[in-house]
Amino acid sequence: MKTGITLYSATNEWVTGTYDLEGLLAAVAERELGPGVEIVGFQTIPTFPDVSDDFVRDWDRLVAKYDLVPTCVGSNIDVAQRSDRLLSDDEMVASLERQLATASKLGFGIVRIQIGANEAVIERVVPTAERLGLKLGMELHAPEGAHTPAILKVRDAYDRIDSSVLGFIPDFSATMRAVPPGELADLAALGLPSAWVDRLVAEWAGEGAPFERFGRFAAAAGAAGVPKEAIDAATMVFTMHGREPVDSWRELVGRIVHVHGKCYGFDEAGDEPSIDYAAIIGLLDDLGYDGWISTEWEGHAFTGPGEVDSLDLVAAQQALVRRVLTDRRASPGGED
Amino acid sequence: MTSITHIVLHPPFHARVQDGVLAFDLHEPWYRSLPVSCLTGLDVSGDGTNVPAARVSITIAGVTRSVAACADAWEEFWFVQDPAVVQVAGVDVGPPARIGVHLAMRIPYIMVGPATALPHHAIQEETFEVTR
Repeated sequence: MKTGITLYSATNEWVTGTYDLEGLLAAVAERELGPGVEIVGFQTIPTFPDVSDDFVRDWDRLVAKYDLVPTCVGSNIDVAQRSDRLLSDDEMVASLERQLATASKLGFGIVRIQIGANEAVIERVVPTAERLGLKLGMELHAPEGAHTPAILKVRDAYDRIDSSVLGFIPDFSATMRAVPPGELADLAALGLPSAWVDRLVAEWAGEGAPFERFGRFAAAAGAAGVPKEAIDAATMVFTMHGREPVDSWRELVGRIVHVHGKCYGFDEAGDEPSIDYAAIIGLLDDLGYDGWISTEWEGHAFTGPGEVDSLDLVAAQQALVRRVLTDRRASPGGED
Repeated sequence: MTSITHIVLHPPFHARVQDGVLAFDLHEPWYRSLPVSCLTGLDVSGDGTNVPAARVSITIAGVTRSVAACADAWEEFWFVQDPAVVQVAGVDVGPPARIGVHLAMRIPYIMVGPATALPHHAIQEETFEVTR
């Protein structure tokens, strides 16, 4: 397994202008958070889905200067880009092909696609990906997982299309063991009483699809007079944190082209309370996964700019990954 | 929720008034650049008084439009690091000025219904120094 970062982790610093592109890449290199570097195309590149020749030259210079390796570009299909109608399949294909061309020009080998890319669109861009030597990785992000209905449809399509460029990008948000404590603290600060924090956690861990569980929580909390802002904010608990079994990643062996090492926060022992890193990294190790793990700190969803240094959290995640792997090497056949 | 996706006014809070037009920076409240067409509403208040929509315009990437006209700009993007500039004509505020904003956007890649994209709102009010 090779470590790296998605620059999305530093969203707070990027959006507030703490870093320009060189400043951020320099910080990644200086703090040894690479060598892999992933970007969200629409976050990093001003002219995305296209890229200017000047940007390509600058990117190449920076990657060489800081000894980094471009890994993955996060694409998006803005199906509701127009105000009058949704994009047609032809328009979605055209948008995705522009994003693939940009990824290729910048030296990336993988493009993250999302569930918004329907099977027909995926099939139509496969020849372009094959020609450009790009892998297409469908992100498996909460509330989806390896065997949720939408992803099973994609897996069937992959089997039918039968191209070696098609794969998946497991995101640890799909297989969480708890709601991040920092998020619960933020919800409490928004006015969610402690008893309702407990109820929220219980509903998250309860039976039913994510929206059913949120619906139960929202109805009960609303009837009890819980502030609407706190109830609305709690939606994210159900949509962003999945409870798929870690072992479900096993079904994707051979199709994993990249991994998003999601994290939110760390306790004093350096563990991630909401994600079982020992189990997930152990499983990827067992599967022989030797690709990139992009550290993706997403605590910025409930942590404002300036509250923490995002790169500190990235460093903590990478230290945890290293510790898990070191422990496994020290006691092969031990817990996994 | 404490998140960059709910912040549209970044410090320092400085507004300018020139030829009777108040101007201030407005940041996109999302983590990535979005099509200009996804700006679906912009309500502005000055010292507690709502400003009529006809007096508000917005400049994104050098192009100035009414908020309603943004709907057609689906091939242009609001780069997430670049603030837009809001212009408000005929408003008398401060100094200092209490400026409030309610920005509504559509998140075009997150669908919450067969033909409905996720609506997103950011509401913020701050006290601005005003340079005349």
